[in-house]
Amino acid sequence: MAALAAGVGLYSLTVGVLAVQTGQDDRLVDGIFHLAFGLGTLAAGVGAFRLRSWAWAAFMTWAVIGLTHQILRYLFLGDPNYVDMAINTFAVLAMSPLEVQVAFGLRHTQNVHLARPTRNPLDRD
Amino acid sequence: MSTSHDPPGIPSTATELELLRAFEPVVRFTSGEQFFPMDVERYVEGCGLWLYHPDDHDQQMIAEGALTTERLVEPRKAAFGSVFYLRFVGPMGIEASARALAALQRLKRQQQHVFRAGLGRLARGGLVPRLLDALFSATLLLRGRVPKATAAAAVLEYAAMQERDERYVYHGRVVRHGGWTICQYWFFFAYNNWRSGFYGVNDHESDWELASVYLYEQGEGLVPEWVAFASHDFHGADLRRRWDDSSDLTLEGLHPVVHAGAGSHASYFAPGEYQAEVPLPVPQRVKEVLEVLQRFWRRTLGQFRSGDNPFRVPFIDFARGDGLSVGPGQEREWTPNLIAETTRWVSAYRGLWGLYAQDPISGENAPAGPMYNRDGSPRASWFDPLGFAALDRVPPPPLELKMLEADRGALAARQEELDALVPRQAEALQERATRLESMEGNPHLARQHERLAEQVAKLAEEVKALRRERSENEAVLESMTRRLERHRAGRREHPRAHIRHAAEPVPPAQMRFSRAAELFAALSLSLLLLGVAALVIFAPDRALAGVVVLLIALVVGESILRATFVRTVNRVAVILALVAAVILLFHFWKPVLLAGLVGLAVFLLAQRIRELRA
Repeated sequence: MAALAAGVGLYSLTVGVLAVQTGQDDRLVDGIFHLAFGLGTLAAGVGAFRLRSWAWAAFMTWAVIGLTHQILRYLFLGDPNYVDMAINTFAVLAMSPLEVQVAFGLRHTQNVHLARPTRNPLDRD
Repeated sequence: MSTSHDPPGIPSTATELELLRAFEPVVRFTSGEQFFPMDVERYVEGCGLWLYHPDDHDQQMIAEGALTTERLVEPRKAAFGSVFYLRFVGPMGIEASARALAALQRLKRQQQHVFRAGLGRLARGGLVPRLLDALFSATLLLRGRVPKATAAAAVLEYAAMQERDERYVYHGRVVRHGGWTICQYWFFFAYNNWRSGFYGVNDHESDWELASVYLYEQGEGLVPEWVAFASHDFHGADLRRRWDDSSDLTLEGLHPVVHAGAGSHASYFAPGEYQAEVPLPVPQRVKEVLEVLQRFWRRTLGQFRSGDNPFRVPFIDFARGDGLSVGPGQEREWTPNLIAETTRWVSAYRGLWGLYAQDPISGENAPAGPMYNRDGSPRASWFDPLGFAALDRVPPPPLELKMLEADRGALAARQEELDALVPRQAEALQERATRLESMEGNPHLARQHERLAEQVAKLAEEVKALRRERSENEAVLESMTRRLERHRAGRREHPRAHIRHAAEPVPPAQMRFSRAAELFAALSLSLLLLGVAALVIFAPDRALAGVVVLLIALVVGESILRATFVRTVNRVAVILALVAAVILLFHFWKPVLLAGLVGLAVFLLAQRIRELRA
C-alpha cells in the first residue's frame, strides 16, 4: 500500500509541477490541487510504511470518498472509473483485516482470535 | 477469597412476621418517582373488574367502587381467549384526559421531588439505534398502548389515596426449600410510568417487583447468605449477591438496600443509570441471514465483530436513589402484609392486575399477580424461589461441608477400586491380544479370530475408559480436597465468583458525551429528514444519490464526535468495497477469471519447481 501511495503521489506531484510550469491561469488551480494531493499521498505512503495509525485513517477515508463517488457514478451516470474503483477496493480489502489494524496500532491484540482447529492427534481426543 | 466471621442472624424460633421485619429491605427511589409500594386492598377497591372477550369487545363485570378482594376471587367462567383484568383508571373522554393532564402538571409543580433526565438516552446510541427507536415508537400506535392521560389520572388517583392514608406496604412471604429459609418481599405499585414519565420502554397499570433474602440455619439462629432482586435483562445467579459482597450490596444493619428504577421499579443493587436494551422482534429468517453475513464478515473478511446486536433500542433506567427512601430508619417506614398461597387474592385471581392494552408483545399489558404469569401459568419466582436465583444447586454452607465430605469419600473409594481394576484389566487385554496374534496365519481359525478381535477391541475401549476415569477422578479429588481444606480453614469463595453478567450502571465517563455529540444526537435524525426533503425539492434527479452521501456523511461525522471514527470508517469502507467488488465482477468476470486461473497456474508451478529442487 505504501508503494502504491508513493507511486500515485509521485505521479500527482509530476502532473502538478508540469501544470504549474505552463503558467496558464486555467491550469494553475488544477496544478495546485495535484501538488497538494501528491504531497498528501506521499506523506500517507510514508506513514503507511512506518505503520502509523493516522496513515491508515487517511487511506480509508480516501477510499470511502473514492468508492462512494465511483459507485454513485456507476448507479446514476453509468460512467465510473473502473480502475479507480478497483484500486480503492483492493486498498480497503488489504487494509481492513483485523491483523492489519493490529499492526497499525488501531486495535489491541486481545481482540484477535488466534485459536485454530488442530489436526495434531496429540491435541485431539 | 474471603474469610468468614461471626455472621449476623436472628433466632430460628422467630415468627414469619418477625423474620420478614428483621430483613425487610430499604428501597431508595429516584427523585420524581410518582408511585410507591402499596397494599392491594386499597388498589382493588379503586378498580373495576373487566373481561376481554375473544370477539374483541370489553365488558365491565364489576364497577369501580363495588370491587373488593373478596369479590375479586369469586369463581367466574369465561371462554378460551378471554382475559379478566382490572382497570385502575376507567375509560376517559377528551375533556377528562385534558383535565387529568393539566392537573398532573399542577401536582408536579407542588411536589418536592422533581425528575431531571440530564443527558438523554439517544446520545448513547448511534444513528441506527435512533432510527430504530423512531420505528419502535411508531409501532406503539399499532400495538396498543396505555394512553398518556391514563398515566396522569393514575398519578392523581394514587396521590389522592396517599393523601387520605399515607402507607408504604410490602407483601411478605416466608418459604422453606432445600435447607434455605426464603423471605420474599413483593412490592406492588399502582402503575408503571417508565415510558410516559421517564423516557422508558413501556407504561402499564400495576407493577410487581420482588426482593428476596435467603437464610440458612446455623445453631439456634438463621443467618442471611444471599439477596436477590428482580432486575431487568438478568436472570439466574446474576440476580443475587452474597451478604458479604460489600462491593455491590449496600446494607443498613440487616436491611439490604434496593435502588428502584424510576417508573420501571426494577431493582438494582447500586445507584446509577442503567442501560436497558429492548431487542426488536426480528423474523427468524432475517436472523439466519444476519448470522451468515456476520460469519462472512468475521471469518472471510477478517473483521472484528463486537457482538453488539444492531436490532436493539437503548433505554435508560434511572435508579439514582436520590428520592424518597422507604424502610427501617428511613423517611418512611414499611407496613408489612403477610401473604401465602392460602391468601385468596394471591391464588384465586389469575387475571391481570391492570389494563389489558391488547399489546401483542405484552410490554403495555398489566402483569398478573405474584403467583401467576400473564397467561395464567404459575410464576417461577413464586413456586421455585431457589431456581429463580439459581440457588437450587447451592446447598446452605453447613450442608455443603457435609455433602463435600461424603462425596469425596465416595470418590476416594472408587479410586481405590480403580487402582486395583485397571492393572487387572490391562493384563487381561495383553493376554487376549497375544492369543489373537498367535492365531494369525491359520485360516481354519478365522471365525475364532474374528470373535476374539471383537473382544480385544471392546476390552481395549474399557481399559481406556477406566484409565480416563481414574485420571479424571484424580483431578476432581484434588480440587475437592482443596475446597474441603479451604472450608475447614473458614475461607470462602470470592463473593462474586457466581456472577457472569452483572447489572452495572453506565460509567459517568461513558455517559458524559461531549456537548457537540449530544447536540448532534438530538438533531441528526431531523437533519437527515430535512435533507431528504430538500433533495426531493431542489434536486429530484439526484435525490437518491444525495441521500446516500448524506447518510454516509452523518454516520462518519457522528463517529468523530463519538470517538468511534476508526471502527465506523472501516465498516463503511468494507461495505462500499464489497459493493464495488460485485460491480467489478459483474462487468469484468472474464478477465478476473482468466487472471485467477493464470495466477493459480503460476503459483502451482512455483510450488512444484521448489519441490523438484529440494
